[in-house]
Amino acid sequence: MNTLLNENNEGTKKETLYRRFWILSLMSGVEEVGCSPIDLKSFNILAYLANAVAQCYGVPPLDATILKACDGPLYPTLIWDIDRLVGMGLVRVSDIVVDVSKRLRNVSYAITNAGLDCEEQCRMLHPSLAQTGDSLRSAAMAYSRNHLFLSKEGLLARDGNYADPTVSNGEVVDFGEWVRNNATANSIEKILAELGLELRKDPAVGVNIYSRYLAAFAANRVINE
Amino acid sequence: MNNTSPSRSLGGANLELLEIAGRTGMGAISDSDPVPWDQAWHTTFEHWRHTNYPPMPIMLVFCKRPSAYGSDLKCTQLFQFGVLSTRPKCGVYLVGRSPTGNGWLLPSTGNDHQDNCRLLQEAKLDDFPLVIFGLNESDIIFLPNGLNADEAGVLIPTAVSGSPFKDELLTSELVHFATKNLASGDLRKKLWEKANHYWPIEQAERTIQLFLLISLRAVFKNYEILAEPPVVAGRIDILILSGDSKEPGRVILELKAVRQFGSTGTPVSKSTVITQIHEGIIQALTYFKDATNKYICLYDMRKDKVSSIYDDARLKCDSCGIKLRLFEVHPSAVEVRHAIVASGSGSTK
Repeated sequence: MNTLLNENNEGTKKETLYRRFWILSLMSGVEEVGCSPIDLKSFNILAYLANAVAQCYGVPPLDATILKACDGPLYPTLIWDIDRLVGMGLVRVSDIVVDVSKRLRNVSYAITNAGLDCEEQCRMLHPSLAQTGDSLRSAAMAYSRNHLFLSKEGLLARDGNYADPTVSNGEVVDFGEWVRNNATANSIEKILAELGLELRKDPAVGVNIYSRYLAAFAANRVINE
Repeated sequence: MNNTSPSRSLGGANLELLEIAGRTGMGAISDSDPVPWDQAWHTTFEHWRHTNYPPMPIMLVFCKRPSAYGSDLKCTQLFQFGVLSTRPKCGVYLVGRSPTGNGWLLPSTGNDHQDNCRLLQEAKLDDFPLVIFGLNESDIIFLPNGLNADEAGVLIPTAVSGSPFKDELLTSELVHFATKNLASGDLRKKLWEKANHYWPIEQAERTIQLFLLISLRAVFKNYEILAEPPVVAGRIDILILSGDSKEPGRVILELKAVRQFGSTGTPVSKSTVITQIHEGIIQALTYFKDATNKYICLYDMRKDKVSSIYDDARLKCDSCGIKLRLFEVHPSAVEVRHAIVASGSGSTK
């Protein structure tokens, strides 16, 4: 797991390691579905969804709060870590777009073979890492299957947490830090209850249907209407 | 669920649309799905099946690391490859589970199938599951173990416009699968440990389930077809939901391989077989009381196919509205031919 570190700060060592494993697991799911490379905006949406649905898989989220914004979710710390992973050869970068004022407009990331091997090795260190890795990969696959239409607009319009009408833009959406309610996870449970399936035994079924439900907004494919 | 509030607030979610999503199961996919590609690929397969041009080969290699291999092998990336409605140019493409992903064209591959096979072997990607288009006019062939396995492959059937919620159509597809796919040489090889002794493999039901899933998903491409979805009382072998079709209903299928011998040759008693069938009926009976149709599909892999063993099961199924469908599975082409001559169809309802 030390492959994932190039810092010497002991205080943040475990958190950094975990965050980087978390990123690699998400990217391995994107890769399995065939959607690598993933652009930066999409990665932020995926990171939010992975946090929001973690509860369905029985694993803790990396961050149970997010700033609600018109531009959609943003995780600056994760972006910083992805760039470190690029430096280590575990993630490769492509599609860099810089505007005339030299500001970065887009960049895409894909996990490399070395990154995939590293993620597999990390999973073997502890059963809880394997469980977390599985859940992140599953969430990333669900997102990636629907990535063409699963946008910030979909989140703002109909996601349990992010579209919560009691939270305004510029405020923090809390789905587990202080507030004991995760409306996104509740929505997935609602879907599976309607379907008659058991959430605990196979949460992926519900997470996939929920991702399609979010994507249907932007795809202008209102289900059964 | 560890942390859900007692109020179960849905926040900004749309309750009505959540309920519809739950009823139709649109987008439902399990992580433990045994097929190497998502059902959505079948829509693409249908788009690419027919061509006005002379048949030319396209190979899709389903792997878990398409972009990582593609990047290392200097492949050309094709953006959102699987959503193309027109057939792409000939060659070998590395792809992932979903058609929403990208494709990676292996360098130097093109119109010559033999060259493509050689290049795939040189790239050491020849043991991944493979789908081939264009070897003839409209067939799509699935090679579960890649080129390495020296197999002719299993045909992926053509989509139909009807509904699996109509018993006649679903039954006819089940019969078609049993008489054509299960009787094909490649699938036969996968089902038997010792074919000449009638010893099925231990995982015969699983193998039948995998290929039946592929067939049903290809035929009924607008419906969601799930393997082993979990319910309170266990798992359903195959569950069909309305998905994109906008048609209310759900169908469950329980599959049973009926054996005379185990995979090591141990005889299986008549009472054990009857008990197993009875368990299948109980399972089908327990799941989804509101199901449109429930089926128990028995795949008879016995040497002595005595039909009286099913008498009790037939009565039970008739009394509780479960549709019993019986299919004979034979270990060799000779046995298949004999069965066709004897019965006229090779399967019975």
